[in-house]
Amino acid sequence: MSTTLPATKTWQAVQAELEAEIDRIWLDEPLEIQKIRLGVIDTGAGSGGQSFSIMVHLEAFLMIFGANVFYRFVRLAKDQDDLTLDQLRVMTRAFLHKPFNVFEFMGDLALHDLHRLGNDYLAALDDLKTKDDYIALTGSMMTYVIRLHRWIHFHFPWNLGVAFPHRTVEELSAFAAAAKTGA
Amino acid sequence: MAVSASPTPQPRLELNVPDLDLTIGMRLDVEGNPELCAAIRAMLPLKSLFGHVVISGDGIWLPSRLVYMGKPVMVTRTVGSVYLNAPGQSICLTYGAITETAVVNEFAHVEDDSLAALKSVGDAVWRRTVTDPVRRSVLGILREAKD
Repeated sequence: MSTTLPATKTWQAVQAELEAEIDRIWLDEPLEIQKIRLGVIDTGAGSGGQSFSIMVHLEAFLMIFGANVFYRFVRLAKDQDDLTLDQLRVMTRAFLHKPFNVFEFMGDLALHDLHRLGNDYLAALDDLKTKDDYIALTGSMMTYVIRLHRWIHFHFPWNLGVAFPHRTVEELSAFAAAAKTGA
Repeated sequence: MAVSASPTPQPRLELNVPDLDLTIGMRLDVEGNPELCAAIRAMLPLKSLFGHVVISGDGIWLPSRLVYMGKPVMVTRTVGSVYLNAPGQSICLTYGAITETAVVNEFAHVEDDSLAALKSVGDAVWRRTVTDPVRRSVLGILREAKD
């Protein structure tokens, strides 16, 4: 099955780029993350000229994307002997590419490096020869996405949570009773 | 004359937090979870930046690059549990309250005399990466213990 993203690099070259990028951002915050948290959104995303919704979307999307979707892909490839490499390609594209390119969406949310490397990953699926190749390449993609998520998690404004404390039913009942009597 | 063999020392890891001048000692469970212990030791030393959980209670995590697909040994976590969250590639440490029911793939346990240091690190990571509006990284270095 062909892809609309033509492969221009070997899968090993794409994996090497992913690993180099992981090295680069492991301890040093990516410039793109800095821009997002400072509100410099070069795509214009963020309805009404705000950037908070971008942080919310990236926190949720990257968390599910890396630790759930990609991890399940590598586990399926490892655990399911009756699953072929071609079937893995179909599943992977169904989740990531068609009918909605999630990497393009990440680019709209100002993660341009993830957009570029994600499209390279999709294109390189055609170059894979074995399921072990798939596990190696997809494992690197997973690590990259998860590291990006950790950067977003680090900067997410969790401190706003003080406005949303846990309450007990008893507290709320007492409030309701007081509100009814006006006391 | 029979010579009694000295007991094989239990392998230990230590988690150094240079910014707080703290080191946390832990015992590896090489008998209970040998495959994961071997995978963890193979990637050491690990230098990474701490994060703090925001759902499951008092826990901190250290991102790794381990794509682990070995057989998990799942147990109930306790204070001092050191476990791998394989989907998130994180080494997690529980230092207080637990508000999640999921069992965990524990490979080590913090030594009793390091539990206070673990709590200090947990509290610092909570402040610096969750409650303080301006974030400050906390670096952790996980390595084999020297002794």
